[in-house]
Amino acid sequence: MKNPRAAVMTMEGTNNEMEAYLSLIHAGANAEIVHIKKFENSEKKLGDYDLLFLPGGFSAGDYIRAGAIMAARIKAKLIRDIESFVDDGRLVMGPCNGFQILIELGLLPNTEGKWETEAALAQNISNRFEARTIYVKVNNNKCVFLKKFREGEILKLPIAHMEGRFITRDERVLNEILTRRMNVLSYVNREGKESGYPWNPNGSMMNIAGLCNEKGNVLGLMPHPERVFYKVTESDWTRNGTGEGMGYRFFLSAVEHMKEKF
Amino acid sequence: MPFLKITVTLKKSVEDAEGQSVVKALKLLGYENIKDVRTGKVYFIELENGSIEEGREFCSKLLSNPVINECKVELDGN
Repeated sequence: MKNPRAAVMTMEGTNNEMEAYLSLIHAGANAEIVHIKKFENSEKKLGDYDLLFLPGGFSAGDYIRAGAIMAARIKAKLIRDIESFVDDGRLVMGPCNGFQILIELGLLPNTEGKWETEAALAQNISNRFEARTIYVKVNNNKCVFLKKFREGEILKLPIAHMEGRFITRDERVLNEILTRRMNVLSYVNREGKESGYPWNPNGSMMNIAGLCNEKGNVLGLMPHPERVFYKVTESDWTRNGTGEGMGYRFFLSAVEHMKEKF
Repeated sequence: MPFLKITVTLKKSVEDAEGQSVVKALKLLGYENIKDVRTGKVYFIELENGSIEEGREFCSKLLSNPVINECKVELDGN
């Protein structure tokens, strides 16, 4: 069985690409870091990969809006390739800046199937850059990246963003997300109850922290699982024993799925 | 040479967190009459030649997200 191939797409200003690359490698994928320009000039082909990872950070300095410039570049040259990639059942994951890009591109939530922008990640309601640990609850583990989690499980993950307030275009889009259970991760307090600030760090509608498309192969989320792949990268690792980091199972779920499928 | 002035603001329905911080800061300076502040960005774009329609394309392709933003395009210069 060959290892699935994963591309971590970067450009100026992205970060965590090394964490994503190492997480994918250590979960069993054959990963590489690829600059967006190599896809634009066809030096690399998206079709040669099974997973596309859009990393966090501040692509193009987050000027205009977070993720707007990278999303516009993808829209100009690569969007059809990415839409076919998703239609083929291949996997796309975008934490933080990657989530902002997936929303801008219309890959999420895409409730109408038209690949149009149906939502936004606006500035945090606190008007602050929120960089800390938060709790999220897994609402639906049908998403390929969440198969190794139990529904109702509470995860402790790091966040670091200024623009994470999830807003839908209208009530209809929000209702579709909830009806189809695409709100796979919600901000909660330590007891697992949906609560306001600071538990919901940005003021997102319905405490939405992560969205997965209906097919289950595109995940966007504000927290950073790639930053806590190993136990020693968790903020409280000296107090809370050994084992894997909280982000490990996101990558293992995806890689095992790809090994079965491709 | 023509230039476009493009103003991007949050829709009225979207809470403006930065604007609320400015309200608080101005009140702390003693301006009790402040009722609300809305923030935005203004882009001044110089062109070789161009039209207001092109400015609208800049809005839809890059400068605004239609879910949360309003984008006003003005053409000035000669």
